[in-house]
Amino acid sequence: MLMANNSVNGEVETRFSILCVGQNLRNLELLADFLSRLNYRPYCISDVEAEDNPPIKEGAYQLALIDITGYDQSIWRFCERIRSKNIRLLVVSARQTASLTEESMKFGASGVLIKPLVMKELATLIHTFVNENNE
Amino acid sequence: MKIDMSKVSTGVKGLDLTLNGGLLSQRTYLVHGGPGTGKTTLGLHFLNAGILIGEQVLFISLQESEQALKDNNEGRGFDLEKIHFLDISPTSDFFVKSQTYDIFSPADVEREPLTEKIVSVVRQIKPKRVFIDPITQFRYFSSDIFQFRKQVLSFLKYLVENGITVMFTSEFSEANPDEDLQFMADGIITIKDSVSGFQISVEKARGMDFRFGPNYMKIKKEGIVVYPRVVPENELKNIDFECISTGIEKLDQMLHGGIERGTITIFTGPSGVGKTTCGMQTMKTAASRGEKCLVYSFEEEVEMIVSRCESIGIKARSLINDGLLVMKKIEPLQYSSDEFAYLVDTDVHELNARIVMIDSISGYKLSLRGDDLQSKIHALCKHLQSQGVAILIINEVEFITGDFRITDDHFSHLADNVVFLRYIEINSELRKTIGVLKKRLSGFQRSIREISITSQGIEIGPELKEYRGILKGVPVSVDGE
Repeated sequence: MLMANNSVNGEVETRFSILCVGQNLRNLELLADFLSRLNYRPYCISDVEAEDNPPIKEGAYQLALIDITGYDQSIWRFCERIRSKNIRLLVVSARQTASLTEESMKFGASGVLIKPLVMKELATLIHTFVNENNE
Repeated sequence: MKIDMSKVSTGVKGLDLTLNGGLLSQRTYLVHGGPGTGKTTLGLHFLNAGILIGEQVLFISLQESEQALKDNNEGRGFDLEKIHFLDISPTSDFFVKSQTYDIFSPADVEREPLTEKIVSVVRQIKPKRVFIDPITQFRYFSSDIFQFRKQVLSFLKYLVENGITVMFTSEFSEANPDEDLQFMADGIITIKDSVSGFQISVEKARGMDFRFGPNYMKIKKEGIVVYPRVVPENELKNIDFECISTGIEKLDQMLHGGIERGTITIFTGPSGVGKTTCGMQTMKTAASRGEKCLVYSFEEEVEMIVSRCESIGIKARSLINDGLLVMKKIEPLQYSSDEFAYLVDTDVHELNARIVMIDSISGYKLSLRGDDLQSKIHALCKHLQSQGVAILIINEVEFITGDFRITDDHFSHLADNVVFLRYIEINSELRKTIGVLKKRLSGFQRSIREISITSQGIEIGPELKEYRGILKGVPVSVDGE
């Protein structure tokens, strides 16, 4: 599914949108920069309970990358919201444990990625997910 | 690419001597040493030497900020304004503005912009010398050891191919050894902090000859000073072993004419017996002939020696004023043995000195700080000897009477000539004697004579034939009285 976003200078925006969630602003900045270079359109959220966050609507994002580091249980509620809108999500964590993987899967994650992420591998993964979504 | 075999100065004279002129240009040199051993200062010397000959130079700092480097090295004589700094050290913003990250590895995030920055600066200023401090920071920009090695190698190659001579430092620990960098570099300069002070050594230098082994190094206000280890020549060449007078007529007779140039003479005896006075008489006589003479006093102040000499008719002051006799007080705790050897060697060359006196071995020993006396004094004396310099060593033995020993420190094998002075007790009166124990280049009188030092100078009496057991200090009359 290819989403047509706002038109810029009369041209139709055809980039895929990816939601990035995390508490570390530098991480979000780097992730956004990385996704932009890959020609995706990143949306970053730090406070998952803020009222002024962009609305989570079905089809608004092709993928959500959620860095759970530093969040409390609210992050799982947020993951559930994402899943409820049929948006695929990948959980990002500093370490991998069996319970974390179980919890992530329970709340709809398609996988758990361990930091630091390797740019090349992440690019391939996102490409695969987004294309699967689009088929 | 044609290999450039020309040499470039490190900016440290003593280190250049160790490197037989300097580093080969367009090569890479690792400065290896622990914290606070002067690696960065050496790098600044290296860059400054380039500035002095009109080269563009670049300091790539991955740790210390440009401002901190400038502040810490102000007043050292480096032309810091002419050094191009590429400051890639983290700023305080990194901490304050939450610039820390963990989503990607530094290798992915920082390497590319860093490489672009370096390449851009190198293209812009076209340096002939680059100093990277420390290159080990690149480890954090590499995903693994293989990547680090590959990246550093290609980075160094890029610089060298751009006509640059590179010096870089490393930080190492047990957990992060730097052996890989040691293999990559064309040369390794190691600085160690030892009990006797800093020691710098060239451990590897591809394509060139260098003096192997540690050299004493000091970090002074004006920067690094290296005192190259004095190494004796393998063989003596073209030395005229001309006999020179000691200025003491009877002693000359005992020595069959005097002592020879290019020989080592030890004046040995207990405290106050007249060793320094005999040595000073020899130096004064040489200076009076117009020869440049050097005296290094480890114990007495120069003025005390001169006053004493003047009081007994050894007119040393006028010779000092004429620049023929140069006397230096050496504080052994401020000089290492290598530093002293370098000082002597430099003085001998600068003054074209023909005779050197070291007073005394006990003082010299204090400067050794754990080093081996025999090897150090051997190296210094043999080095001077190979240049035809006559060396006088004043040696104090501990015991006034008793069993006779030439020295307490087992270095008498070095001596070509040994003149001993002893106290003897005759009829409850302390008297002094002198004799020659060894002379390699000629025969000598084996007699023991009385010596006295008066306001008229040094007087040596007739042979003490009427006594035996003089060397024990308590002689007995041969006729039994």
